[in-house]
Amino acid sequence: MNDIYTSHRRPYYIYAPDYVRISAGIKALHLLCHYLNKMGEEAYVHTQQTNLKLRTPLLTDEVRKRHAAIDAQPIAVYPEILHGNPLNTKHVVRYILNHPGLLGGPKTFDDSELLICYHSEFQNDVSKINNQLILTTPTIDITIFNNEDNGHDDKRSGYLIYPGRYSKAREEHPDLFDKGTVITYQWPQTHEELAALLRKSTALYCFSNSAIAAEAVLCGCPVVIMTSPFTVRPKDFHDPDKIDGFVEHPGISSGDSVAELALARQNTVAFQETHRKERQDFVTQLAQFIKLSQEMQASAPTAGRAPTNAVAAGIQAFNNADNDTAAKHLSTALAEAPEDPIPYVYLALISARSNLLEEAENFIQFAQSLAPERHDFVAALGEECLKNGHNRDALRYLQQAVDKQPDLFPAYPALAEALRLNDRQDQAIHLLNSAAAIPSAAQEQILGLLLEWLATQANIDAIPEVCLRLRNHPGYQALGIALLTRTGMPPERIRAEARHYVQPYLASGLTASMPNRGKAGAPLVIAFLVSDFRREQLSGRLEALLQHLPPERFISVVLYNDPQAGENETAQRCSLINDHSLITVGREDIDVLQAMRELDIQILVDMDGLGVEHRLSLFGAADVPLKLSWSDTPLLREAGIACVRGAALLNEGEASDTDVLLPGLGEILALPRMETSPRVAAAPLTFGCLSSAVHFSRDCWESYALILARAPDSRLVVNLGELGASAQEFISTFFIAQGVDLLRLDFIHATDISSLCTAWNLVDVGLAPLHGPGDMALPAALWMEKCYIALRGDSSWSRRPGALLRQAGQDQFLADSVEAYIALACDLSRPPLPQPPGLRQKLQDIESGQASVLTLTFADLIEQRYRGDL
Amino acid sequence: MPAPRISVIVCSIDAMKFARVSECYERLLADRPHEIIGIHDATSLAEGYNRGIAHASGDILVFSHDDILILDPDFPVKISERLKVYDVLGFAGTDKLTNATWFCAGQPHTYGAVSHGKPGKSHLTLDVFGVSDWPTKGGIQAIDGFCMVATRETAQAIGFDAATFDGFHLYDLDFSFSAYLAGRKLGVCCDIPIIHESSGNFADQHRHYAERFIDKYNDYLENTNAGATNGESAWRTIRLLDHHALLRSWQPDLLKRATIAMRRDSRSTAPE
Repeated sequence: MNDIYTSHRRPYYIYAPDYVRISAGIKALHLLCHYLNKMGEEAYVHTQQTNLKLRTPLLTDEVRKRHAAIDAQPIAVYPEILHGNPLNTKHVVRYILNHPGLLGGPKTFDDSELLICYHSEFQNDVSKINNQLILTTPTIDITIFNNEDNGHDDKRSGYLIYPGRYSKAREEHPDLFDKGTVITYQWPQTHEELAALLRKSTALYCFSNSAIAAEAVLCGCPVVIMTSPFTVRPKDFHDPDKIDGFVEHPGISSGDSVAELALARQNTVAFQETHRKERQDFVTQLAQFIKLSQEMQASAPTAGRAPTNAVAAGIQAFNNADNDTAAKHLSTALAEAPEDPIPYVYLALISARSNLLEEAENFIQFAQSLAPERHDFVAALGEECLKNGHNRDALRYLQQAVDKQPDLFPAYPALAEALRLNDRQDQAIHLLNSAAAIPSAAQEQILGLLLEWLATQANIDAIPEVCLRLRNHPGYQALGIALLTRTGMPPERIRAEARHYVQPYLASGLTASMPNRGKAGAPLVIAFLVSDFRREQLSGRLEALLQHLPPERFISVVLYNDPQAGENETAQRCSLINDHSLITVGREDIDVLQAMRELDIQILVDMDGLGVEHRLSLFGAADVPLKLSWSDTPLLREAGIACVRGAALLNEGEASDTDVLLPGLGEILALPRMETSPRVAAAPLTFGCLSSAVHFSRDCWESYALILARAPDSRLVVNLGELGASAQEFISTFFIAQGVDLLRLDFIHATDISSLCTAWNLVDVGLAPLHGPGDMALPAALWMEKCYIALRGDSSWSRRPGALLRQAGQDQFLADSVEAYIALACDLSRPPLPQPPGLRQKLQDIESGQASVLTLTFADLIEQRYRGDL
Repeated sequence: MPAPRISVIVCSIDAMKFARVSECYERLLADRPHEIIGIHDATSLAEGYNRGIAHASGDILVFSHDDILILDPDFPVKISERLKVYDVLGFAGTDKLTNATWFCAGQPHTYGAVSHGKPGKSHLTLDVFGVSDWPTKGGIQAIDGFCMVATRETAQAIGFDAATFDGFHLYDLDFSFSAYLAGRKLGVCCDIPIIHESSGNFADQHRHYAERFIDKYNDYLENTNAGATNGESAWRTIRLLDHHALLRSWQPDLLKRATIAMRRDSRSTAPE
């Protein structure tokens, strides 16, 4: 603890990737910040995602400005993989968490930096011998990973396998995998579940240098290190006195004979003791680190590789796109220090930028001859080629770099892009899919790119899986779940995902509170949380509600959580007629909650359910007596949240006491005045998938391809909505697979209700999505006197297409199975096509006065529920 | 009974704007007897409009800026019918003039709705000042001058005070407030979508004429601070993509509900 009377303590800025449970290095950085704060220092972490249980305040601009104003001279702590001094502090500490350069980044560091090593093994890698310090920040929670009071210890059975990043493990050891239990990044989900497995297993076969080895041994489970690129020490780090197995400590074995395992098992106790001691030593190490770092002299202005002036000037000129000046400085640098590879690398980049590819090749070869392990140099040249349109060379360099160094993850997005530009999109997606499964500093970027590409294809079977990997981002998780409802995924899996999504917010009051009855006669303050105004069905409903809620009974508030609301016509109109607008975009929950308290909100309705902008944290934390969800995917019900639903969407006996049931579908339709056009009798039958393509899963397209194959004269209109050529290409593949001529497909882009109605005039029979609620295209079909085929739909989120047909009295277009759906479509392709009369009239009968009637029903029910009368 | 003749009087020194506004009125008034009187050398708007009155042959006189666009094809029918009841009509105004700016009285005293667009901007605004009565709000004391409609008799009887208001400000409030004080009936039309390309200019010149206005009407005004231009709780604004969106939004129920909401809380702002 530092002297509280000492006023001049330097704060610490710790530069760390987002917190993840499974990376020991990342945890060490976050924990260092935590322990520094616990020791009475002022430490911040420069990251996006922290562990809420740790004392790791974020480094914000305000903090930095405050420190600058008082000349606090902060100390930046960087992991060894990072080049330079991006926080631009005078004092730099480099935390060597692995062999420098092994995971990318520099291999040497400026003399002015304070180097601290996570493990003594790394000390040999850094040349300087002064001011080196061991700082083994404990990253394992020994309250979870221990072998104490273990009833399974003497009757352990079965073994575990941890392939880690080594994708060929199963292929190379099929027998091992046949009988063992495989641990992945995703499973088990919690530390407690993992510890329970380790405490009852006989051994862990480990293909990767990971903290799991230490966790296993602490649980009394011996570890067998398997040979893989991730467990063998790289050549240039090889110490002939040491075995090749990367992870070394008692309890770990390189073989799995009975004797080796028995010895390792016996040694687990020794490691537990060593670990206990290391934890004790850490306190001393930390105190020493604090002392040294507080006393250190200022680092060099351009901390990092300490480039010569000529190199630095060359790089700066290169970054400013001044190639001639850059080349001049770099040539000088070459003359001064011919053993430095950096000038060669930049000369290669300049050559690529100037379309001198042969010269680029020569320069990069020189660089590689000086630093053969620096595959990131080659990758950099690949990226430069990519930027300059040399796609084939880009692919060659990037592929070469990644082949040589498979964990060069920052190069993966560029490699994927190069593959895509070389007409190998499938390979690109496959590559990103593989890389996305592996934790790395680039993982989020890789997942983001993958998501973007899958979204442009409307590949809604693959998108949810990617979204669900981004569990740190609740928005993606919500989107993933919403999209799962459009696939044939078993409802139980979807419900489980929903429960998992909601779980973290349950403690903060998501379950409905007891209504306080409020002052009798006073209007109720009702708020609507809206995160996506683009969904016309939902935003139109909100507009109608705001317009028709009796002002003497309700004061309306809209929480605008949609970043695009400023450009959305309905959102703008809502802001005109709501009593209060509360803009939540870009605001912290705490600020919005304060604003909500000031408005004394009594009822909060989440209007659009799950999506990437969904703000469940706000909904959960709001101190509001009555909370409701009104969504076409009523999944928050899984967490006990009361839902507003259309009675026609429920199965018999399904109604719950807590739900608010509205008549019919509970929808408010606003359909345009538009003429229908009669069918041309002689024309071939045209089917239409006019719900936007993002509503159709793989099995939908396969079924429709089958329909077209069996009804050879028919055609199909597909609405891509806002999607482009990539989606068209993706969808076309399903029809090509069934031998359907693509000339029989018409792709259109209808994005609003008017264009949808116009498009229905092109179609004879609609095909509703097999799963999910569909969208405004379905009522638009009936409005334009067109019928569509739909499944009856089992799950609550898939009943809407069928329920709408039933409301219109068109049960004959309902199918009980996918086979029946296909058969019905094929039957309809044979003339004469039945023409159900008066669909528009029927829809008008349903809709007649609906906005005001439905709103008043909603108002009555909600008021009764709030006052406790329901 | 034949349709009344309509005279549109426009002071303009911008040929493009004059051509555009003339085209708009020609289209609106195509099946009505009408004339468009362009005044291109006015020394002040009051002087120009007085000259227009002198030349006009119509039964109805429209005093129009050159930077407006009226989107309602029923404009001539509506104003002809309403001028049987009212003497002066406008599109935005107040039933309680408290100082030299019509919207200073704030809610619930401001009325009307106007769209604003600016050159080079991709969107239009819809500014709602108050729509509690549809289609017309009576009991008005003062009107904004971007477009004022009067019977010939009223225009001639009241006239514009070109001596006091010899620039381009406050001529409109002076004309309409004079008419009100003379016992004429003023109304604000809420059901005629109209786009104005300017949103007012309250620079020093405005203050100069505001002082003159306050001097002239000192006995009738609550607030004699010539610098006051901000109406408390005066209006709500939203941004819309184009005139189609504007027409979809210019609906009585919507504007009335907006007015109720605005009068409860004007602090709300539209998302940007």
